[in-house]
Amino acid sequence: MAVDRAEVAERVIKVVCEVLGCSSNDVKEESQFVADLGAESIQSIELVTAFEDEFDIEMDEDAALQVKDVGTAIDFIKKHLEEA
Amino acid sequence: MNVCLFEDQGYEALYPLTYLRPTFELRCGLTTLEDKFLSELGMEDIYYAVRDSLVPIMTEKKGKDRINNWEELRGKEILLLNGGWLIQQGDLPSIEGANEAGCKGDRVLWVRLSADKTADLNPQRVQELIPACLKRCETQKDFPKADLILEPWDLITNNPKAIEADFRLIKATQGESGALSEGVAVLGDPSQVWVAASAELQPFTLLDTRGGPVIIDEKSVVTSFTRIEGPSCLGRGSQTLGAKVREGTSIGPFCRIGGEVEESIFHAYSNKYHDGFIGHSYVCEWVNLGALCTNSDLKNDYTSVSVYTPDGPKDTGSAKIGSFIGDHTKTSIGTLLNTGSWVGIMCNLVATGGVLPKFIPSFAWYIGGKITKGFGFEAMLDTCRTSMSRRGVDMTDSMVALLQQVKEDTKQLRQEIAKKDRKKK
Repeated sequence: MAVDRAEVAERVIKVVCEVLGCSSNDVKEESQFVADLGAESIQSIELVTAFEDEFDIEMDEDAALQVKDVGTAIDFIKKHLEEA
Repeated sequence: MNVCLFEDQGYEALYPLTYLRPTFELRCGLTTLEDKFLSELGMEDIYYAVRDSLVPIMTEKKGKDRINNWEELRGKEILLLNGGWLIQQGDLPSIEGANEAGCKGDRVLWVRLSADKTADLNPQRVQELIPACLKRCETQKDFPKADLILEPWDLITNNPKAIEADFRLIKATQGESGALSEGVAVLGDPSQVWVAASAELQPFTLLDTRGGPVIIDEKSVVTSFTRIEGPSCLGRGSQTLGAKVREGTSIGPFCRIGGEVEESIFHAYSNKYHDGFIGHSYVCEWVNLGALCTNSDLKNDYTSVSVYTPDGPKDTGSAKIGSFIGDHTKTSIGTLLNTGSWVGIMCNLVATGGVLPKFIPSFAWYIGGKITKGFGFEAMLDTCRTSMSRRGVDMTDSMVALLQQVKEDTKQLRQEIAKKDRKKK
């Protein structure tokens, strides 16, 4: 199933802003969750949970936590949706 | 006569305490169920029969020839003992005698067989051992009053009695108590105190023996302003930090305990360094309870407490039951555990100000009022390795493999609960 990357990106950025309390202007594809957006370990878990909730998917937590930046998260979730 | 301690099918009912250890390694009193058998038997060269998943870690501890070594049971006189049996002095069946089994209801306490009866004994797994041996018995006796540990809370209710038995044993085998240092007060009969010579008790410590004996084991440290009410025991190398240790408490080796604890068992290597109350609870190894972590052990309506287990709620029949906390679990400051809570292994609980859910599956993280699937396994292992290395203990490959197995075995339940919690607003 083909998935529109732009739509995934929009929803990923929305979730990131909600969980990390930042503005969408601050969230770029190259933004790193920890280094640039200030995510702590607990917020990383919250992000995974929020992505699962937003996209109604189940992600492997080990694989999901390897994702360090927004762009990779978009691709990771897009791939997940396509394989579902 | 070859003696073998076996684990029966009851280990699952004792989760989360038995995910990483056989039933006979559970603590009740100063020592474990296994220690009590070895003491009663007066021998250390015994065999062990455990579930397959524990074979690697038990082999590391005891040696390959001691674990599930069916060859050593075949063609030999054997005495099999149920490792979940909290044995009392004089309970052991005689080594000599008929081919016989001792039971409590449908659970086998012991089996004794002669060499000719075991000539063709050929189990492949522990689950096959006891049925095969029972078939070879000529008689069965029932011991309805035997203390078989069937549920986690049985360890709590039996703990005061077990401490008293261990006190009698330690006095008989280790001799008289070391002298109490100046400034340590005893309320009650001083002969009900046993302190190892290497223990340090600081001034302004109070030992209250009016309700039972107090044992302070080797190299433990009791800091000033600690009050210990008997029956209670402090294990080897443990510390209390101005704690209120109420009656019926066992603190295993290498724990650090502050605040208030009552009728609880700390297995070993666990920390409850700060203020907060833990009552009628069993805390496994490598647990860290943050400052002000507190559990309820009594409902406001004084009714019987139910514990929520992986199989659903179980009525304990007791009005006072606290929490059962699995190995490597950490709680944040201010965590409030509900009456009869069941917390799995390697959980991370972050307080939200309210009381937590009564069931937290293994490896889950409780964050923002929701149960989540938790952090990646490797990251969790790194945390475990760090906390263990601080006490000079290594995480072995066998333990990593066992943790991975438990994580896999508990995955479905964790995912189901996490998914349900995700929907919560």
